[in-house]
Amino acid sequence: MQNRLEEIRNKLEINQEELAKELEVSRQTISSLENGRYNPSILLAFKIARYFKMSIEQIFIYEEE
Amino acid sequence: MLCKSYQNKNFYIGLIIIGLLSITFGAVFQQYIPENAHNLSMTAGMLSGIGAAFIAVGVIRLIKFKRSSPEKLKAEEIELKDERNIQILRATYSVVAAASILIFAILAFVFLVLDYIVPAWITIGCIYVEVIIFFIAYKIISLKM
Repeated sequence: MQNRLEEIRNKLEINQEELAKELEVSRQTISSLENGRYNPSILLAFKIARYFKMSIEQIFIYEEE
Repeated sequence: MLCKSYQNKNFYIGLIIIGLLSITFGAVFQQYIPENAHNLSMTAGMLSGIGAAFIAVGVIRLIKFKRSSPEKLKAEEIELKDERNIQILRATYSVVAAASILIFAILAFVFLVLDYIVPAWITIGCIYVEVIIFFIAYKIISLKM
């Protein structure tokens, strides 16, 4: 699954540390999400979407295999 | 479950109490062991050692709770509850569990080659216990999900 997390975060000028603090996750989790190495749980996806005031689909792009 | 305990002060107070009981039991048990029963003496020593380790861990964690700033404790809590860290931990536990079965199987062969029949049976028993625990845990967890 791809995502636009890094792009949105950069647009809002928030660093990984700050975003991690807001979402109550580790900075490594944010980094892994941005690199596409890790897919978030539905709870974290909702948290991220709610934080950016966007829908999940606007941030995460589901690709059928 | 473990993550919740790790941040709970009462868990460490309990650990210190268990440690004290273990040391006391080890010391008292030592008094009643005949001088030639080295295996029982070693068991008493092990109990005291485990007790001391529990006390040390409990005391160190309680001191850390007292001395660490709330921000640092919060950061530590986030690290513990972080979903990626939990997934990494679970995957690691799975690897360790699979490896332990393999190690037990190898140990059973080694004991048989060395003609240590009783330890070999104990090791084979451990493999069966692990497999039984696996099926019980699978059943309980699948009922919860």
